[in-house]
Amino acid sequence: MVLLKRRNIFMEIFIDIDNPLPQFSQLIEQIKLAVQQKQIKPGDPLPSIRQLANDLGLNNKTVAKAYRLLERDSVIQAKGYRGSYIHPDAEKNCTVNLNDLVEEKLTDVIGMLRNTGATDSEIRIAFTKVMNSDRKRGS
Amino acid sequence: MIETIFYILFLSQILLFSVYFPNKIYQRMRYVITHYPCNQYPKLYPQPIENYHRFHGNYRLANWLIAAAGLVTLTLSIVFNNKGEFIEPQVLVWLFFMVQFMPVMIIELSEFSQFKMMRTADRSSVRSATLSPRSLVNFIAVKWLCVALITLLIAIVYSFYLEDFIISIEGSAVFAAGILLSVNAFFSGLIYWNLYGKKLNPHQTEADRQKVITVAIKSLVFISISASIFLMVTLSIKEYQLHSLAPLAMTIYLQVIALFSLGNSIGSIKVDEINFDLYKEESLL
Repeated sequence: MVLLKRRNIFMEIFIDIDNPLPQFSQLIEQIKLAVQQKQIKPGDPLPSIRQLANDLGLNNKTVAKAYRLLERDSVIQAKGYRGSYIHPDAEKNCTVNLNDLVEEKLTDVIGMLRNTGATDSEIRIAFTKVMNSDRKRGS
Repeated sequence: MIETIFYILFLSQILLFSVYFPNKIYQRMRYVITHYPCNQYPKLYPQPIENYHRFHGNYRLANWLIAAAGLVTLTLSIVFNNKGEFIEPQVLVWLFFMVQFMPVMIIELSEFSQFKMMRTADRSSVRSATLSPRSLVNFIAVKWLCVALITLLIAIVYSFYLEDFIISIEGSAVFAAGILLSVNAFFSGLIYWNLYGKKLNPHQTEADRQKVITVAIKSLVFISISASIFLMVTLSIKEYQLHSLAPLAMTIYLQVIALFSLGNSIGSIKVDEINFDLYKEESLL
């Protein structure tokens, strides 16, 4: 359930803690929707992680994760002690859904691997091996 | 002459803090319970309604009793011409203020308890927040923050000036500066908590919350300014041997605090401007 309301002059968002969609995902969705609907504009400041977490009764880490992913997707910009702001290209970047892109690419790769005769089990084992080796390299 | 002025001001303190403001608060509480009854606004009453009636009655009675005690104290002071033989007048004023402040403290604590019960009773899984950041300067003009800082600095410098800028642990300047800085640090913590702390009332709208924050911050800043000025007055009284003015200064200061806190709160937050619709059973988001 995505709810977005403008009540008086305050741009409010709503999080449903019973929703199966993770809370950070709901936050990301709603901020992106607010940008797409021009409820908030490029350059507008966002509340601090602490303020938003306390207002919603969420853990700081949940809000921090949402902000991190929004920054990765160039929907928001973090400017250090000055806080976070809506990215100048946020409107364009809101339509890019990284999860959809990951799914699309994986579908192509898995389809290709199946065509070579690899079994699903072999694909899963190889996938896990690659993910783990990438993680070790990264650390 | 000074004694007469003191008695008039002490009477004013009794009436302001134990009659006028409590009456206003009591009227507000009764207005809410009458115009927003339990059967239509159940989310506003997490406790049985009888508890609220009893609390209101006890609150009014307590203030009447304190006012009566104040009048008796004042009468005895006049009759026995108390000049400090029994108790220093400014100490008497301060102690009485502590007693007068108790019902206010109880109201504040009961509010915390009320909000906690509302949060527990709140079955809704939906939580709301604004995407607008809250900043101190959104709620009070920068000039008042500057005035608070400047009066604080002047008060500290003045206290050291009276001791020829000798910094000594045994001197009263260090003590006075320490008290003033501690009080302001405490106020700063309260301001931060008001701005960024957890939302206590789960049903409060952002607009109402901003009004409450504005009142709280303005009260704290003006009380800080008053405290700095009061310190300078107190030190001057001591320095220039004007002890007869001490009780006057004390009662004036306490009444100023009352005006900035309770008076500001009652005057700025009108009950009929608060959004009570969210306390209805089927309130729509």
